[in-house]
Amino acid sequence: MVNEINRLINVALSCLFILVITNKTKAQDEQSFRLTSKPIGVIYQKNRSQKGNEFLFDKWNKGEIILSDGQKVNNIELNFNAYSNDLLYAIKGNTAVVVSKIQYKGFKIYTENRRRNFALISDSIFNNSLQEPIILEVLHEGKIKAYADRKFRINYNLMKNNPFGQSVYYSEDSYYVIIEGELISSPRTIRSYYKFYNKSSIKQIIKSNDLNLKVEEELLSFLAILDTWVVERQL
Amino acid sequence: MIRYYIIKKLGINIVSTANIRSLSTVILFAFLFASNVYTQSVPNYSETIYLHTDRDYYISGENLLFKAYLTFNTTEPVKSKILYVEIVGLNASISHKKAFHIRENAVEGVFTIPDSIASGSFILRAYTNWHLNFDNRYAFYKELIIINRFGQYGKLLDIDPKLQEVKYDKNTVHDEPISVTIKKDSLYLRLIQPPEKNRSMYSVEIMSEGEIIANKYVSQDSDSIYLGFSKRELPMGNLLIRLKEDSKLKACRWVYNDFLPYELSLETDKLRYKTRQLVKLTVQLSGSISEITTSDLSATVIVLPKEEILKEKVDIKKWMNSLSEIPEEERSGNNIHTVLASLGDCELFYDEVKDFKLKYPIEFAGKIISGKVINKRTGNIVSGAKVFFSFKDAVPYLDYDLTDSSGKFYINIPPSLTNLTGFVQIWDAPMDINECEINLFEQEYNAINLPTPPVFDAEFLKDVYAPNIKAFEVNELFSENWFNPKNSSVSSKKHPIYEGHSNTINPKDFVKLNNFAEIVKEILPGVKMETDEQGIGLRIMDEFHGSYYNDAPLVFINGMPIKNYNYLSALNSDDILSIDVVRKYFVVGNIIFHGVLAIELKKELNLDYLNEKAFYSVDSKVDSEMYSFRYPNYETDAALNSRKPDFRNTIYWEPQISLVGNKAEISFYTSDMQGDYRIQIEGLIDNIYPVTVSKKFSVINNL
Repeated sequence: MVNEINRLINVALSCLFILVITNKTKAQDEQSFRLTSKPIGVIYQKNRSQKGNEFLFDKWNKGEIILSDGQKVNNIELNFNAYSNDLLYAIKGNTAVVVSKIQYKGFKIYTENRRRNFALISDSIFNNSLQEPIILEVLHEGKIKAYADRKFRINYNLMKNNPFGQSVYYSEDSYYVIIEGELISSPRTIRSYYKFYNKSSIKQIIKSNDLNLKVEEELLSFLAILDTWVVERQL
Repeated sequence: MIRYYIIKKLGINIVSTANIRSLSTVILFAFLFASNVYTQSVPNYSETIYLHTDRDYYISGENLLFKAYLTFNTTEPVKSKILYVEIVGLNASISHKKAFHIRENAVEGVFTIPDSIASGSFILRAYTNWHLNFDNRYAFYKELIIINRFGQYGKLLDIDPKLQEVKYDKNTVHDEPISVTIKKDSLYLRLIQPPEKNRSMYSVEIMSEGEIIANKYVSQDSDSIYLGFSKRELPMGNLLIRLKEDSKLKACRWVYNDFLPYELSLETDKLRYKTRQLVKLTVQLSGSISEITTSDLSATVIVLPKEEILKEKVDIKKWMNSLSEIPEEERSGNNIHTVLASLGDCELFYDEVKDFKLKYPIEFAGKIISGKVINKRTGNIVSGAKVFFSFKDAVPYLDYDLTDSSGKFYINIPPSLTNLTGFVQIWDAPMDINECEINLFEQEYNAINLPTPPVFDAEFLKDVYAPNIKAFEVNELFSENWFNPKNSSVSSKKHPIYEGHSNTINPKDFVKLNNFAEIVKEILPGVKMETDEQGIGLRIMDEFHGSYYNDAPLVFINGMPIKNYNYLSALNSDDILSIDVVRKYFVVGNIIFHGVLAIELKKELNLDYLNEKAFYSVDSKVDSEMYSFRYPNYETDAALNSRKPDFRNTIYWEPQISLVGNKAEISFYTSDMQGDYRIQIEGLIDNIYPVTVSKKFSVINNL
């Protein structure tokens, strides 16, 4: 009898222990949820006819969304749909929500290696006929600004005939570099920078550091060096 | 088994056969205790407000121009983003109230004095939600005279004796063990109960903003201890002096250091001017100029009335100094730590964190609408009710909150939505929503201890300010607007919350359809409407799967979400401007809606027709317009000789003056009014140090 009572008491205590912890966690979540802008969007539905992964990252990583009013929504799992140019956040396991573009001005995703910064750009300098804002990855932000358009396109041949179930998506990144408010026409060619800086100085930097502007990391290193220089528009 | 499970999980090795139930209980209570000691961290925070107005007297119908300075006594920005400004009458009735957005610790605003206001003296009061949590002594207030130009001079009112100003007797002896005085710029500590002979060490700590900035050991028999710090060495503002005896706190005392490192000076290019003549001013700052990071000043030039009734002139320096004169009887403040200290035990607030709940939350992003949901019959609170917030006759917008265990809800209005009328409604509740009602919290200051403005004979006011009334009326004949809203760069494009996911249908593109059922059938693909005993039901088809959702969609009419669709049945093509359909699961926070249908009517939505008694209008408007003050330019002969009279009462108003180096140059033209003019320039340096300067000059036509 005594053993039975002891057993029952232990079970009750264990349950209470679990309840206290989960209730406290829930109360804290609700408290932080109130008075902050709530994420708005539509549930993402994958087009099953398209094989492959349309998301930039294979895994869903923790990140934060920076809302239009400056508030941040932290500690949520995010991914970027590079095909439709949308930000998504994960709720309840396999459900993802496409966040409405009117709500945010940027977001960050923390991958294993580094933090990736993205911004919603509506400036027409990028595209003379920009109809709506576009999400770009922020690569460098100093006097010189550099962005990458992480874009996935669809291989329509594979859509018609794809016996091995390959991914129909392929990556086609493009880059935007802005110096003194002017968009560089071909940021991965050295000649594009002669208009702003001394030609021989640029050549010297490229040669001494053995830089290949077609490689993203080397392009960024080159821009970081240029950012320390004063722009001298060449005639 | 369970016993061992608990122990293994907790990583405890039991070597003895001790009573495991007791151990589990102890461990469980330890966790319970740890959870419940989660306290709200108390910020060491305060907000000081000062309003620089263009004048102290106004005529009904005029614009009161102001710049509000908000400071936290550091270079950090204040947390509040909404400022409330109100005009309070003699009997403490609020005659006019407005909310403004705070941008970078300042508000440049306009307050139109209503035409209906009776003549008399009033209090202009400004505060944020932060101040509502404390005694209203710390909200900003100043006296104004307002004259009604239509001859509605009002009656003299009896003064309520409760509203008499509390007098502070500075000679009262207080039962405090220490007193601190500042003599000749140095700090002195006096022990009211002198130490016993052969007493050992006392230590004195000086704290500012929660940190010890200086301390000193003293060992002295006399009761007066020279602390050896000068005003210049210590930060400006409230300092806490703590006296410890053998490391135990014996007593503490507040002292206010009013030392200011900066001074403003002002020079005009002449002493006297003619009408319509250019005046040039040079403003100069002296002090440790090289350390300045920001200067934020505002300037006003006015024509003085025949007689200045309000003798006490408030400026930013005087105002901030006055906040330090806390009457002993009113031991409170707008800083949580001073409030806690006033509870008697000053050992508490820096050494422990106390659970202090703010009744009015800080509006750190936008205006907060709050209230509670109660049962109409019993008066009991209802928790777990969903309260929706939206705007009427506007783009569809939705936010919500769930009432907590005390039945309260809080909803934050985004700063981008300012000039719209908002509504809250109970969308869902654990009981019949028709049995529930919402009580909105009104943000109101209590009237107790509000200083009574001086009472003047209304006819006397008219005589004193007669030229100014006439000047205003003459100006009104010529519809020159001295004051304009700046062109807003905000796009007028609409952004509903489902933007980018909807299809829009315009009924005018089709033949006229006589009722909503026909509209749904003929021109809304993916939408179906059914009628049964309960009324009209709507369903939306998922655009991916091609099947109808089981549950009803979110339906907006003119921006308001509605549950009762019976109103829709009478609508025809002529009533409807556009219909947006979202054929996806739509998410707002934690709520998933099965599609969205948003109808925009050609006319305003009449809530009575919805039979929905549960819509509550809320005061959601916040002013965020930017205005510019126009100055006439009499540079050319044509302008100088123009017959259009210029009888402005405010000659110059500039709310944004920044010093370049340590100087600023200002110029403006005098008006057609002859007499004395006054220039007043004031503001904050580095968002902490108040500076002010004022100067008079004369305008006479026959120089």
